[in-house]
Amino acid sequence: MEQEDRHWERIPKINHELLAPLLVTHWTYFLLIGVLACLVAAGAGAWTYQVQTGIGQTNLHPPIFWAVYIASFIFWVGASHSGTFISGVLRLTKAEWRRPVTRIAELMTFISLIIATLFVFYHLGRVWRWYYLIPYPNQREMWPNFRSPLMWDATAVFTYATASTIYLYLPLIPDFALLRERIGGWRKPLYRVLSLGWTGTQNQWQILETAMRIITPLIVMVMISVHSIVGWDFGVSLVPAWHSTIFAPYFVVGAVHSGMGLVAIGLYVLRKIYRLDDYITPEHFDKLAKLMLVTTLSLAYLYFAELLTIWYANIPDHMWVVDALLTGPFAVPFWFMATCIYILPLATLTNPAFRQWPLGVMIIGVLINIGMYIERVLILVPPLSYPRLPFNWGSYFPSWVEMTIIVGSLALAVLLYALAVKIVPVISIWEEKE
Amino acid sequence: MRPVTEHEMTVRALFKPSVYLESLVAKLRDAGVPEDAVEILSPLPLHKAALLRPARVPLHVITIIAGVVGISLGVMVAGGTALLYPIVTGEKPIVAPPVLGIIAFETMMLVAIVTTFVTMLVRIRSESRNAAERDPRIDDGFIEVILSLPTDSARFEMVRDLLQQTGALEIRHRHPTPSVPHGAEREGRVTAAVLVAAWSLCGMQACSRDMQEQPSYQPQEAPRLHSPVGSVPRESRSVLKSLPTQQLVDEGAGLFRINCSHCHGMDGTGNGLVIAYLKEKPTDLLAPDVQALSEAALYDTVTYGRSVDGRDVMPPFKGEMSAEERRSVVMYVKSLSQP
Repeated sequence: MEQEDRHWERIPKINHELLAPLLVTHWTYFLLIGVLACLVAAGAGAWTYQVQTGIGQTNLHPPIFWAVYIASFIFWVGASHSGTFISGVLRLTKAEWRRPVTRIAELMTFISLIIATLFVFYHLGRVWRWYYLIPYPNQREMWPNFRSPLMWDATAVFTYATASTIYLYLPLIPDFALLRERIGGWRKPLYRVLSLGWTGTQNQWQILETAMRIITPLIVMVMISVHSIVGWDFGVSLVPAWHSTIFAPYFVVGAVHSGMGLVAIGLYVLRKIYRLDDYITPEHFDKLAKLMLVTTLSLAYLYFAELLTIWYANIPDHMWVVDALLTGPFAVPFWFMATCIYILPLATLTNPAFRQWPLGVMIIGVLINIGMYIERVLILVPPLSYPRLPFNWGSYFPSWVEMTIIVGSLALAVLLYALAVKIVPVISIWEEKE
Repeated sequence: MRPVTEHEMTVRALFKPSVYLESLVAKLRDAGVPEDAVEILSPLPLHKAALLRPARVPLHVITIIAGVVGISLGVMVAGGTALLYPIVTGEKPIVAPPVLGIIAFETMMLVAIVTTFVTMLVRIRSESRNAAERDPRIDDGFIEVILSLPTDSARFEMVRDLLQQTGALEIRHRHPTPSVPHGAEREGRVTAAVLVAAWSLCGMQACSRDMQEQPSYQPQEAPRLHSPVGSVPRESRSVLKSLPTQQLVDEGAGLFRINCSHCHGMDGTGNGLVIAYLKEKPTDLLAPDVQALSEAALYDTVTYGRSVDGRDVMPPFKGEMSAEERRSVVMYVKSLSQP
């Protein structure tokens, strides 16, 4: 009984410390917002220019019709697996160390999906005709062709975005009720609506926990389906080096790999800025690093299996792509990527002392994400550069419009995260108390 | 929690988190306070089954039903519409089972998750207490027990003693005025009103069928040469105005002499050289009823020709002149009535 008492005595302290990020704002925060807003404006300008003058502003040209926009789409959908995997799987396995990590990861999921959706629109030629994708009765005599993987994609990403928004919101309800009591000003009406009249009666707690228990396994399944479908966008085509059964699991594992890296970055940065050292301890980085090690090994295994199958079969049009990657024009980015996502994580994260070092784990997270981005581009560009008839082999490098849009979107993601931190507690307060 | 009536009073007791709530509820029940008159507010889920009143329909049943609805929705959207709009591609069947599986999986998840969420929202709201009366100390770890009792001082005294024995730190009581909606209820109504308004706004689009009924090409149809009568091209309205009319009329006059004058005559009155061989006399283009026709109507006549009682009296000139040339002829015909 005394033990339990001491546990409850921590509650006012937790309230105070975890509400601080919402209440205290350093001047550097506004500086950060300003810089990010400028970058976002540059990206928006580049997109406007592209819409006005046409998709020819990109360096897309036959045979390379998919490049960095689609690579970014895959990357950001993959990044969104951070939240659902970490929080969903850890909730399912009732891992206690998930508590300070889940909210940070779920927010990433939510924001990554917004950015991923934007990349679909950047990629559309006549973007103002996007509604042709929506199935509704019309006289165009054109109904979306559901046998196209791109329609599966649209359906899956919509489902995933809706579900992960709900999943982010559920454990927030009790926290919003607490914020409604503790925070005044412009945010108060917002919290009053968002907290849904939560008062903490036993039936409310029971309904919320039941709903979370039901939705958590569902969202894990949706998460796996979403990136599988993104993988099938490639796998079901006949392009050499895409037409492979391994693509769906390979994409899912790759997505979780980069998602883990992002969570490591988020944990480190928020811990540093808001001095959450009592909540996010080296032990959390250790656990996260172990998971990263698992994804590193799984991804390397899948990558090897895929390359081995192509190499042994030795079909010429497939080997053109593999040779270009291993020793040809794409060798430099390929080996850089392999170093970032396989070699360095394996070399460092296997060391127990390294795993306890937050900065180190964060750096590995950054490297994994850089590597995974290159990996996404390398999935797209080399196979498209070597079509079966050599007369139209091509090459590709992004134009300034594409690069500006990519940087602007990254800035938008960070900006949205920075703004969200002022509305949503980055650590789930009630789950931390529990 | 059942609604509070006028003859009832509310008693609120604040406890330390270490209170043994199950025995308190049992004691209250023995003292004649029914279980649905007791409500416990806590900053954390207490995980004590004795304190719960289970819902009539369990949430997972609703999720499963919604999932089945989602599957049929997916099958209808991906399979049913494929039957309605069959497109032959790559030797795949019109309704492809793996595709149905993928789409139905996603819609199943979508409908199941959204329905579970909405049901949860409704239930959480229906369990809501007056948030303004809630003791802020609950957030710091205390537990509040709320009782609804009949207004009866002897009974109240007894319950108060019982609560004090159990270790209540503070006991407050008041006679509620149930007719006044409390804060949470008001917000709920505002939110509901906003949602209903937004929903009806979405419904407003049904007043116009413009989006559904867009002019479109049929498969294999040749490109359309001119816009439907009465329509205005989105961006080229100014083109019509910017062309010098006199130039058009002059060009039209030349074309008229070549294509039309042998029937309609050089002056357009319908006394051409060949009328002796015609069964129908050509129309007098200077007649007021012809001049009253719109440019678009004249253009259609030039383009498609004319028939009277099913007999062709004027051939179409679609193949002889381009759209611009036909338009200039129309301009010339219209200019005939002007001095």
